[in-house]
Parts: sequence; structure tokens; C-alpha cells
Amino acid sequence: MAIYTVDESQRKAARVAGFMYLLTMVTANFAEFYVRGRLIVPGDAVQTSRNIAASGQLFRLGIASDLVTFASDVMLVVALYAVFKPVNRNLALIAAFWWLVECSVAAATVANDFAAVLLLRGADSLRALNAEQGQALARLLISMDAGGNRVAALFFGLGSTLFCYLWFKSRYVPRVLAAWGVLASLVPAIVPLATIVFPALVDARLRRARSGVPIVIFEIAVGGWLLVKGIQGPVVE
Amino acid sequence: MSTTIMAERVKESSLRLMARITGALYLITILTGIFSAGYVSGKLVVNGDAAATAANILAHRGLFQLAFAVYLIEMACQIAITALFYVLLKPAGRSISLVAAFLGLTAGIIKTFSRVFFIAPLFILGGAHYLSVFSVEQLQALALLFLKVNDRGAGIALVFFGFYALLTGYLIIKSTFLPRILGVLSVLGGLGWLTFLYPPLGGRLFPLIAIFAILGAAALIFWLFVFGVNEQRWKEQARRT
Repeated sequence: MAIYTVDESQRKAARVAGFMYLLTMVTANFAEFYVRGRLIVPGDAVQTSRNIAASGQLFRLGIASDLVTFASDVMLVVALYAVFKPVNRNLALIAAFWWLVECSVAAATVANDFAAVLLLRGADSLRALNAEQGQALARLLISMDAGGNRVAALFFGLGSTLFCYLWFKSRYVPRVLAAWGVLASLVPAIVPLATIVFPALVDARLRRARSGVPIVIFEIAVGGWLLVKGIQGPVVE
Repeated sequence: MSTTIMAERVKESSLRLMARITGALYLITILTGIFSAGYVSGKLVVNGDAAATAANILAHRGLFQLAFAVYLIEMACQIAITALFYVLLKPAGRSISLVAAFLGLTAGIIKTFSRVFFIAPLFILGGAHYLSVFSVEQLQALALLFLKVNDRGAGIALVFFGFYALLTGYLIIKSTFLPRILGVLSVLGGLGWLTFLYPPLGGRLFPLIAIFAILGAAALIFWLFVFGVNEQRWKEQARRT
């Protein structure tokens, strides 16, 4: 059995990672549940665009919150890479690259939402489209988010699975927690692919509501653990 | 805790295993790419005919969705290879391998994001009621437009990938642990992808470049799988840099 030691730079990186795990949980869930949960009606682009037109300010706040999440995710990636590089550099690097893809794709997808808001507000430059066309285009853009979100979710799940495996292997946090993380990460890694190939398999609303819960629990737990207790292991000078 | 515990500071997977995994992932990348871009896209997308393309996609919805999923598997493998090649080639040149890795990562991100546009036609042609303000022809044209955006996005990624292959080839040539000819093939493949700086030229030469690049990749995959890297020389060169 390998025992992985801990040096000071890893300890610091782990605290940063803990903070970022928690911060991204707050901003991501604010955008997902407080904002999109209220405004976006799954499978109903008409009602969704009405809601967004009525609460443009809230929708923009959700976008801003998303962008904070993605930027913090990049910092989380670097912190986790610093923690796990001595454990297994190859896996840590693959996981880091997968997560960078996730952040980039997710952030680029948000550009769609900006376009939708512009169309729904009926900006002057878009007068050539009549009202129905503008709204239909906005609804189309919003429904297309599902594509980008699935791609992002897949890469998030893949990266998270590897990082959680490294938590497990290194014993830096309790193994029960890490094992839970591995299982919870497999959900976003598998569900997007499964829903692409077998769309009828899972009810859309169920998928939306439940599949993220286990990983949210993990990220809150591991973030809290890292902030309060830090990582465990024999210390090297 | 006893003091006799062996503190294992660094435990890397063995080089041989790593070379094999790199080769295997590389092979998956090529096969998945051939399936999605070559077989499915080639079969369903009719250039310049939006109506036929739309009809094909709707008639083979399952195949189209499968191609999207396979594209994503391709990208996940390609990103992983970029990371593994970085570690593998680092002894041949630290800075150049880092530049290569970031170019490869950028190429991967651009290509992954352009695949989001590949699935867009399903949303446009899905028959949502609110889209009835557009005519069928308009929707079909919009669907083909997004497929072209997907194509052009992948073309942009190819330019980054071309620079990546150039640098990777240079590193292989400079390395003492892989045969030089593999590096030369990678450089030539990279030069081929750079024709996508002018997409019409790249598009016209694509079949030729693709066959050449696939042959080069096949040689590299075969070598990584069967012989791996020369472990002793790898370690020597790693110590020197």
C-alpha cells in the first residue's frame, strides 16, 4: 500500500481547492436553481422565453453567476493539479485538461443566452426580424443550450471521476467520501451520452432534477472537509 | 503510525503502460473520427442541398445522435492523448512540449465546441410548434448552416492541430527514445493540416492529407503499442533536461 506524503505547497493548494469547491457550488446552484429553475421550463421554450423577457435582469445575474463559476473552476483545476501531481501526474493532467474543456465549452455556450436576451428585448439592430421570428429564434437558441450543456457535463463528469479517484488513491480525504465522489461523478459522465443516444430513456424533468444531486453533496462535503481539516498524510520537510 | 512506513513520494505508472494507453486512445480517436466524420456525416450531409440533408437526418435520427455521442468520445480521447504526449515528450524539450500541449488543448476545445453545432439541426428540425413562423425551407437552410459552422469550427481546430503536429514531430525527431521517421511523418501531417489556413484548399486536399495523416498516426500507434519508448534513453534524456 502506498502512503502519499503531503508537503506545504500541496496543503495550501488543498485549502484553495476547498474554497473553490464551495464557491462554485454557491454560484452554480444560484444560477441553476434560483435563476434558471424559475425561468426555464424544460421542454417549453415558449413559456421560458416569456419568463426571460419578463425578468431580464435576473437572467443576466444568472449568466454572471455562471461566468464566476467557470472562472473559479479554472482555479480549482490548477489547485487540484497541484495537489495530485505528486500522486499521479498523468491522471492529474488528463483530469485537468478535461475540466478545462468543460469550462471553455460551458462559457462559450453562455454566449447563446446573451443572444437570446438581445432578441427577446427586441434590440434596434434586430428590427429586420418581425416579433414572432425574433422570439422563435431566441427560443431556438435557448433550446440549443441543451447541446452545449450536455457536452460540458460529460467533460465535467470525466474530469471529476479522475480527480475523485485520486482523492481515493491518495487517502488525502476519508476514503468513503472519495468513493462517493467517484460514483457521483460517473452520473454526469454517463447520463449525457445516454440521453444523446437514447433520448426517450430518461424523463427530461427527472434527469434535470436528480442527476446532479450526488455530486453537489460530494463537492460541499469535500470542500468543507478541505477547509476545516485540510489534507491528511505524513508530512515531508 | 509506525515510522517504518515507506513514504512513496512519486509513483508514476510505468512508461510502457503509458505508451500503450496513449496508443490505444489514439486508435480510438481515429476510429471514432472515421465513423462520425467519414461515415455518418458523409452519408447524411449533402453539400449544397439543405432539403436532402434535413430529410436524411430526420430519417436516420438515431444514427445522427450516435455520431454526436461518438464525436464526444473522440474528443475525450484526443484531450487525454494531448496530456499523455506532453508527459511522454517532455524529456525531448520542456518548453516546446508545453507549447505543443497548449496548442493541442486549444485545438481540442475548439473542435469540441464546434460539435455543439453538429447536434443543432435536431433542435431546428424537431418540429417545435414555435418554429412554424419560419418556412420549412428556411429551417432546413438554418440546419445546414449550423452543420457548416460545425465543419468550419473543426477546420479552425485543424490549423491549431497542424501546429501541434509540427511541434510534436520536431520533439520526436529531437528525442533519443523514438524513431526519427515517426517525427518526420508527424511534421508532414502537420504541414498538411495547415492547408486549412485557406479552407477551400484544405477542403480540396482533405482526402489526400487525411490518408497521409492516418498512415503516420497508424505508424506511431503501432510503434507505441508494440515497442513503446526506449525506457533507458527516455530516463537519460529526462535527467539531462
